[in-house]
Amino acid sequence: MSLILVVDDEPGVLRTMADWLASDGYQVATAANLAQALDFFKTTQQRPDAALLDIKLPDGTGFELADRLQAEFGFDRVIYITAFFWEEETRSELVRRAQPYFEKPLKFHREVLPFLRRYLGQQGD
Amino acid sequence: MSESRSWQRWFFFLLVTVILAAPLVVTYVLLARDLRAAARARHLRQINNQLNQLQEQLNDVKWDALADTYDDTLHLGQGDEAELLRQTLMWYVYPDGHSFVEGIAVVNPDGSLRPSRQAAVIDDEGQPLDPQRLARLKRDHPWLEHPWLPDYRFLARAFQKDREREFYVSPLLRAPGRLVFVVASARRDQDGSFQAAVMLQHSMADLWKNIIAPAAAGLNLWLMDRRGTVGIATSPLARASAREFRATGALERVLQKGKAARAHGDYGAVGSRTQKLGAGEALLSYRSEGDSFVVGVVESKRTLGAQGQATLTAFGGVAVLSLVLLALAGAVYTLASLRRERTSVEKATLRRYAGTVSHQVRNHLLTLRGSLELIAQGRVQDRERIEQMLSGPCQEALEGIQQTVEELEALSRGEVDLEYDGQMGGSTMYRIRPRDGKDDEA
Repeated sequence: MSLILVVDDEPGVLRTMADWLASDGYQVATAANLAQALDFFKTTQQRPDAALLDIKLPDGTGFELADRLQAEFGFDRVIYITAFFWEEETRSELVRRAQPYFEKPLKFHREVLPFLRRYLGQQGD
Repeated sequence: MSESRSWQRWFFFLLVTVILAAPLVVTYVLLARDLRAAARARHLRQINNQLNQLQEQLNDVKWDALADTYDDTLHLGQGDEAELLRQTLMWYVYPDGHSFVEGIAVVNPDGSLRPSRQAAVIDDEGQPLDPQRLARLKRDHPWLEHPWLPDYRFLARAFQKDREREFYVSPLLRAPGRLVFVVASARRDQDGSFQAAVMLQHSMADLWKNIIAPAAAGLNLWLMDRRGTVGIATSPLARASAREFRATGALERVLQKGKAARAHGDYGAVGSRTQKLGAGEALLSYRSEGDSFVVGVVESKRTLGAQGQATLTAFGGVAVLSLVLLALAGAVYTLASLRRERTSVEKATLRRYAGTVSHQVRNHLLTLRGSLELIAQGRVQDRERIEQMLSGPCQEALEGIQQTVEELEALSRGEVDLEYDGQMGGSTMYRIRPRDGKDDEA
C-alpha cells in the first residue's frame, strides 16, 4: 500500500484530499505546514511514495519545502497543488521545476487519481 | 501605500532640495566673505585717507601757528611791535560772513598779556574792518575783548623752566565756555633768559568747524591731547573708543611713537588697533600730531564693510526666491508622484487581494467538489459519514464562500481596508482588516 503525504494549511482541503486518497486505497499522512512536513520525515523511517505539497503554506512555500526535502532527505517525489496557477511567478516556477502539479479545485476522479496510479506504477480499478 | 514609503519620498525631496541649495549657500557665503572683505578694505582706505588729511592739517595748524608766533617774536620790543601786532592779529573775513579767528597776543614774563585789543582789526585786504561787522564779530568771538583763559602764567613758567625751549604747544585747556589750546614761541635775551612769548590760541570749536568737520562727516571720530583730555568725540562709539584708548595705556605708547616719527620727519604716529568695547569689537585707526594730539576713527567690526551688504542682500533675496521656487516645484512633483504611486499601489493591492480571494474560494471549491464527488462516486456510502461530511467540511466551505462574498461587499462599500497578509514568493498578499479587533480571516 503506497503512502502519500499531503501538506496543506486548509483543514477542509486536507480532510477532503485524505478521504479521496484513502478511498482509492492509499495510506495517507497529513501535515498543515512546512515544519510538520519536515518533522514527519525526521521522526519516521518510512518514506512516502509521493508528497502532495500546497504552494502557499503559513511558514513558507511548497517550493521551499520541496527543496529542503531534496536537500535533507534526498526525497524528490513531489506533486504540487496550487490555487495560484493564475499567477505568473508561481506558474513560471512550476514550469521551471518540471514536476507534476494540479490546480485547485482538484478533479480527483478524472485527473488526480489516474495520474497517481500511473505515477506510482499501480493499477487502479 | 505605506506611510514609511511616503516619508521616504519626502525625505528624498528634502535631500534633493538641500543638495541643490548647497551651491547657492556656498556661493552666498563666499560672496559675503569677499564682498565684506572688499568693502571693509575700501572703507578702511577711505578712513586712512581722511585720517592722513587730518593729520596733515593738524600739523599745518600747529606749525603755521609756531611759524607765525616765532616770526613775531623777532619784532618784540621793537618800535614796530604795535604795528606788527596790528597786522598779525588778523581776522580772515570771508565774503559769506564766516570768519576764521586767529588771535595773537604777547605774554609777559609775569604771565600778563599785552592787550592785543589795542591793535586794529583789518580784513584780508589789510583795510580796517567795517564797524558793524566788527561789532558782530566781537559779539560772536569774545576773544577780541577778553582772553579766553584767566591765567597765562603757565606759558611763562614753561619757558622759564626749560631754557632750551623755543616753542610750546599746550594740552587742551578748559576755558569758560570752550576748550582751547595754546601755541607759543619765546623771545629770549642773549643769556637765554625768557623775555616774552608770542601766543596764538585755538578753540576746539573753531578747529572742529574749520579743520576737522569737513573731513569727518559720518565718522566716529575723536581727538585727544597728550594728557588724555578728549577735545572731540562725534558719537557714543567714539567716546567709548577714546576711553578705552586712554585706559589701556595706548595713548602713551602712541605718543612715544609719534615723537619718534616726528624725529624722522614724519607727521606723527600711524596705526590701528582692535578694541573691545561694550558694543562689541571695533577697529580703531589713529594718527598722532607728533606727540601733541591723537586723532582716531573707530568703526564697529559688525558694521565695518556694511557697504557690501546691499549687494549681498539682493543676491540673498534672489537665492532664497530661487530656492523657494525650486522647493515648490519639488513639492508639487513629489505630491503628484505620490498620488500616482498611491493609485498604482492601490491597484496592485486590489490585484493581490483578488488573488487571495481566488485562493480561498478555490480551496472551498476543492472541499465542496471533492466531498460531493466522493459521495457521487459512491466512495462514501455510510449515511452517518455522509452527514458528517456535509455538516462539517462542506458547511465550513460554504460559510467560507459566504464570508468571502460579504468581505467583497464590505470592501466595495469602503467599510473595511486591506492589510498585509504575508508574502507569496515575491508577491505581497493582502486580506481584509479584521473589524472591531476580531480576525475575520476565512
